[in-house]
Amino acid sequence: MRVLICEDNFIVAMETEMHLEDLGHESMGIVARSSEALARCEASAPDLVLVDLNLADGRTGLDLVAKLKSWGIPSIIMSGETEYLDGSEDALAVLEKPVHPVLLERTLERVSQQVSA
Amino acid sequence: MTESSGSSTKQEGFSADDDSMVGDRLHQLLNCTVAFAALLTPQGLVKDVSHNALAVAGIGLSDVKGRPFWDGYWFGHSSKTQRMIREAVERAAEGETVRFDYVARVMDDQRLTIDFQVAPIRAKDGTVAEVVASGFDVTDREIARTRLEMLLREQNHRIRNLFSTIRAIANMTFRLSAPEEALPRFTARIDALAAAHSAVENLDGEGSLSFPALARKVLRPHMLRSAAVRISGPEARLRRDVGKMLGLCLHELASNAVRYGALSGDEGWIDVRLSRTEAGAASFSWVENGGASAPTEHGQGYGMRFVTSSLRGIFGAPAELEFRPEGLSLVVKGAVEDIFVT
Repeated sequence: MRVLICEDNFIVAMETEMHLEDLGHESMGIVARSSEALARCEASAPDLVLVDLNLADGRTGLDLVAKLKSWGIPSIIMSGETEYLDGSEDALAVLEKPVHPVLLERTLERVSQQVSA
Repeated sequence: MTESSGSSTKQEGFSADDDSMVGDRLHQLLNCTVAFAALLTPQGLVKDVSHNALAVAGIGLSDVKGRPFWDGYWFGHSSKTQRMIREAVERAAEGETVRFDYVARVMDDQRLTIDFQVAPIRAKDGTVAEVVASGFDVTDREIARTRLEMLLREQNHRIRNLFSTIRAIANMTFRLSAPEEALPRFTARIDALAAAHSAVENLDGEGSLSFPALARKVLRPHMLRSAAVRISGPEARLRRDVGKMLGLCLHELASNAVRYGALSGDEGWIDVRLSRTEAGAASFSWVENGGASAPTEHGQGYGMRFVTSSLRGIFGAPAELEFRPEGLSLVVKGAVEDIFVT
């Protein structure tokens, strides 16, 4: 899958990118703001976006996920603040940080099947 | 009360009778306490209410006297609260003392959290003659408790983020370094993270959240030679996340300067500056001077990729880099509100 990472802690984003590439996915890059993520998706739609809830332009992650869904672009939430979520969010999955690589791998496998189905 | 205050009534509490002087004293008593208070019949009909309880609701005694207590203005916003009050009065009429917190309606449809109690007053024969309802305004306590819970939740998020950051630093450092370099690089990065953390999280020290304080903490290992690092910036408070990321960037820049740039010899120095203008612009610059060689590896490593990408994230614009013979020059510009607490 072609995956965009939306995360304002760049070192965490780089680690995620490394895991993605180890698992055979392609990184479309790292962005720190929702606005940048939307601009990137408009230019070229990824297969999946990984979204942190708290970004450089504020707590905009949930809105980003909703917007992406309306564009038909699937997303996964990766956050340290998952207790605020109630299951109604528009993401395919929610992963709590720090994300265990095995959990990331399983989730990506599942999403990959859903996306290609 | 004078006659009836014998040893038996001390066990049973206050004794009421129809003596008008006792009634008057009870009325005064209700109005002399800091608590809200009301005197009720065992059936829950209002006999008297303290001035403060009437005033806080903006009503008069005639609005409630002779009517069921739970129909009063204080409870009118919630049928659940009305039911709770009614049940409590009924239990008190059976001889029980009942205590709980509830949210009362007061003037202008505001709310107060009340620590509430209803208790029976017994006649000489032991039957319940009256019921006293009383309450304390504990709204401030509730607000403080809610605020504390929120702070603890936030703190918990920060700790989780710290775990994520440390895990990522470990992974990236060991993946991208030669085996003999990995551990010292890792510990140096953790030291920088700790320095940035203490600069940003410590609220005790004066100006501890400012850029100069942050830079001094993170760059201290490189400041053993005086004049090696010249720091300038406003005393304004940095945004917390920005402070941490900027701290890590300063460490990576300094490490590169030691390996390839101005700090590789004894002569060079670095001007590091964060500035802001009246017009709302912020700018960060790292300018190396007097370095010995022209560093070409500078832009390649993990450290510099981290720096340029993090700065782009913080400032919302790419940094301008120039590799000059005397060392690196880096400038990045953004908006004041992205960098400082405004």
